[in-house]
Amino acid sequence: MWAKEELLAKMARIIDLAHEAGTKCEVLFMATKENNIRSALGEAHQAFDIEPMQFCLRLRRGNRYINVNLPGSSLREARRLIQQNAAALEYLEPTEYLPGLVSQPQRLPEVIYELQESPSQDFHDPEWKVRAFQKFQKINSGWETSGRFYTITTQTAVMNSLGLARYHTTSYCGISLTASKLRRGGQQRTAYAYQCGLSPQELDVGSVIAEVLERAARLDELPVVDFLRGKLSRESDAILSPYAVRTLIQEVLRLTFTGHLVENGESFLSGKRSGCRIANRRLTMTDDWKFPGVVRVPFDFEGRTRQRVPLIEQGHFGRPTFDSMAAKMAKRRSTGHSGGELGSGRPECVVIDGGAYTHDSLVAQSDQPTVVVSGLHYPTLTYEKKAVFSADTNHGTFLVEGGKWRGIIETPLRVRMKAFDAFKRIDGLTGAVPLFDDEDDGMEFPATYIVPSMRIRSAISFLHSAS
Amino acid sequence: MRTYTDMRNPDNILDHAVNRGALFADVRVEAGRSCYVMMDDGVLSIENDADQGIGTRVLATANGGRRMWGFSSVSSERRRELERMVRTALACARAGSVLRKSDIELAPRPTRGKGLITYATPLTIHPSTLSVEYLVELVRAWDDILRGTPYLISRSISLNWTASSELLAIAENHSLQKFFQNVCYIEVEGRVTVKRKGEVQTRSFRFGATGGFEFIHALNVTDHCKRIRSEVIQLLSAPECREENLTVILLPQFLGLITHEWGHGLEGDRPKQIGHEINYYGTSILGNPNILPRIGSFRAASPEVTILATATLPGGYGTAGFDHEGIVAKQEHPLILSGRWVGLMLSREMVPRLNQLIGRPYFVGSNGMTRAEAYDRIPLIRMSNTKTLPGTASTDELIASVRRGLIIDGPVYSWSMGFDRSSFSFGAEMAREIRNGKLGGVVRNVGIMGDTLGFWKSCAAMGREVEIYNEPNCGKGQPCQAVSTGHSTPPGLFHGVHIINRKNIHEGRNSHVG
Repeated sequence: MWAKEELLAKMARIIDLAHEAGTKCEVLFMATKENNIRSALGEAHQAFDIEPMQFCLRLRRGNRYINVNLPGSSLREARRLIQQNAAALEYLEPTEYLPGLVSQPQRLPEVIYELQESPSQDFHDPEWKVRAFQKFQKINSGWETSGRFYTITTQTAVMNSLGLARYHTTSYCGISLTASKLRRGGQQRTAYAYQCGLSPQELDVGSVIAEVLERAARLDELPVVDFLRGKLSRESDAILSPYAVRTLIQEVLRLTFTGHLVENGESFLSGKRSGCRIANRRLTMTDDWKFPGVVRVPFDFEGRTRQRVPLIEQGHFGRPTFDSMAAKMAKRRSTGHSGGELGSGRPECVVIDGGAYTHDSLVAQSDQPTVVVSGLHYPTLTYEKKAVFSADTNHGTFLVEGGKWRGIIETPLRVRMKAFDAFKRIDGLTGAVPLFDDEDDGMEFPATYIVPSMRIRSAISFLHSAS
Repeated sequence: MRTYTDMRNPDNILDHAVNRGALFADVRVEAGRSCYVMMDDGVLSIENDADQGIGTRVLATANGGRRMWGFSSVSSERRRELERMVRTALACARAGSVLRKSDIELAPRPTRGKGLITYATPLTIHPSTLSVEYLVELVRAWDDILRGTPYLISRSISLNWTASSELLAIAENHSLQKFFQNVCYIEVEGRVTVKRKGEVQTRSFRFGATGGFEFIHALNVTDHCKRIRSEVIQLLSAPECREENLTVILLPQFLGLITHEWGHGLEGDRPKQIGHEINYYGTSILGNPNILPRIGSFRAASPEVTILATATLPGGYGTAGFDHEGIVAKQEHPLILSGRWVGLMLSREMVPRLNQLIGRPYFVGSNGMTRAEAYDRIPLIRMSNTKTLPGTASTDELIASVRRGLIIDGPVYSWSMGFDRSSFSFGAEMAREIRNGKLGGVVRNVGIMGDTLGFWKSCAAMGREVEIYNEPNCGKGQPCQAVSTGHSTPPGLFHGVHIINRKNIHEGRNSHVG
């Protein structure tokens, strides 16, 4: 990563080069430093520390533009590449939807970052992670542990020909733990827990271990039940863990609340007016980068301040998120969600208001047969216009009935639901917890999901996934 | 394209690593360029990318610890940054070293002498020699065809190429080996989405190859644009598919992705007793402790099915001269041989681990399936290409053999796999009925699901008309690494496949297993 002043000087130099080539320009710089240890079945197998960085330029002349990405480490070829691409602009037809350059806001919300503790020098120190993994290794309950512990710092800056200059850093970390046990016959049971935060102080290794052991103990103690009873599929009430809710929301939001998809007719929300009912009144969901626990992204790729966007308010459709190009096409206003291209404006700081239930009280009040879904694996939308969602269950699936834990559903289950039918049937929410993007994230800002557990009444179909 | 002498000489980095205690060290220097020309709903955009950097991987121990991997990368070429990279990689290895119960051991790597081993993608027209004006002209002409689609709500067409240069140097056992390659990919992708009376249908294509622009010239993209424009309209008025068990013919662009997803189950780091991806991407049913020792004889598919792993497939996205452990690509490695499970995709590290679990020295060395997405990622076991051997029947003959069924074409619309790859669910864009050996009408919203081993055992025949399905975005690892893979695939005939309607989730509710 560059020192702030050195970075801004380099970006100013790029703008100068663009001006010399007869173009206006906006430049985005992104860099991350990521330190990881991964372990499998009780021993580390990867330890690494990586630092990618890149300059992303949009050269423009009138309404013509071309995107150019340069190595973040070296501007040796910048002049040649800028001149070469500036020359190519003449071949392009004007794009009426090209948004204007962003002026420097009078009030910069980045000041909020003074409130965030800067990462200490040893934020990426592997020793901190080693101590956590050594605690995992001491778990002696017949379960083997695998996991990942990562720390990430990011550096982002945007500058343009109008004099805009914004700079932002953040740090975040996460720890996940999977406990596994092989059974006779080769079946493997797994239990999972994850915790994330903006600073190391927000992580509690002991509570991650306690959570995964509690789930593992349930897998040890409960009998196996035959949920499907010879049938191919069965509709049931369900309690989704926060991990499962994250996976569901992440997949559904991407293809429903993106403004461009809403406007062109592909989204479930296309044609629906703001204020119409799309979910149970218990569901309020907001894209809010200032919410505590969110990895804060104060501006988008073009330097526009990110707005707080009400997505669903007490079950009513709020509004979608727009990148600037899609907004111009739809004669709307950008919500500050541009990822640099048409259709990139999607919610990334998602906050669902929690409810008064605890996970235990959701279980205790589940009289009817209810499937407790710990995790959802490999999500997909099988029909986007109706937001038909499908995924496999993983990390422990249980049956609850009469307010009691009845057993483990060992049959691999495939979940299918029309997501908004399910949202209309939410009848209980716990308090919400922060979770970053599904765990393959890294190298860029993660989306944050502040999500509760949800109980959903008879809107989810569970199929024998290997039928 | 870079030449070897353009790239920074890695000897000093390796010396620095060995002098500071690395028991093994490798360095990858990479430089890449790519160009994307896209028209998305009529908006033309062009992106030219350049990236470069250096990564190093070391094996080292801490006091009282075991041999462990450490990896670090930097974008900078400054000497002090490179030295810091080495120190960081060693620090990572030493930190992880105390968390290991056993040493990381590597299977031997065939030695190749001291000379530089080189490879370049065979090509005639390097896409970087073509003007942006020409590429824009092509894309605009294709977009004009898509734009004429009735009931259109969204369209996109893109043409992109990527050229990368890689220098790999390995210091091991007091010797140094260097490898250099230039690889070039080219791809075209088109999509139309239409809507009528609330029904939304999408039809698309994606074709690519390792090679030059001659691939695009030979493809006739114009015809594919016209084809999807016509097919998507047929889909709008087609009947919904019903949920039932049927015989299906899966065409290569559909079966290719199924093979790809099953291929993940054939990766050597997926067995449940190894668990490298248990924390996120999952495991493999073939790695069950009661199945793994039966490798060589375990029946995993019907006798019609033979699947090979190969990094030598012409045009395949996984085709290269060597993997990121310096294993030279030179042959095909059986994974499934006439239905028997016989192989896995391997790294040097996994060979001794797997032999221990299998209980005999089944594998003799890595088959060269270890790759990283870029210089800033640690190498993992990754698919290069799979090659499913064709049968003798033509597609018409396969159709003629079906009394009632479906023929399903790609690309796949949606896909999802079970955690241990034992089950799957794939949605199709396009399918047609087959009745009494003849092609019938189009049906829409077709999906298939089932158990993986049962599906492959239900294969009655492979056709002879092979296509390559190339997948540019195959994800694995934490953080995710996206690499390109290729799949040489014939059409396949499968009996008793469970058909679902991917739009209507309640159809067939509570139906009994047949």
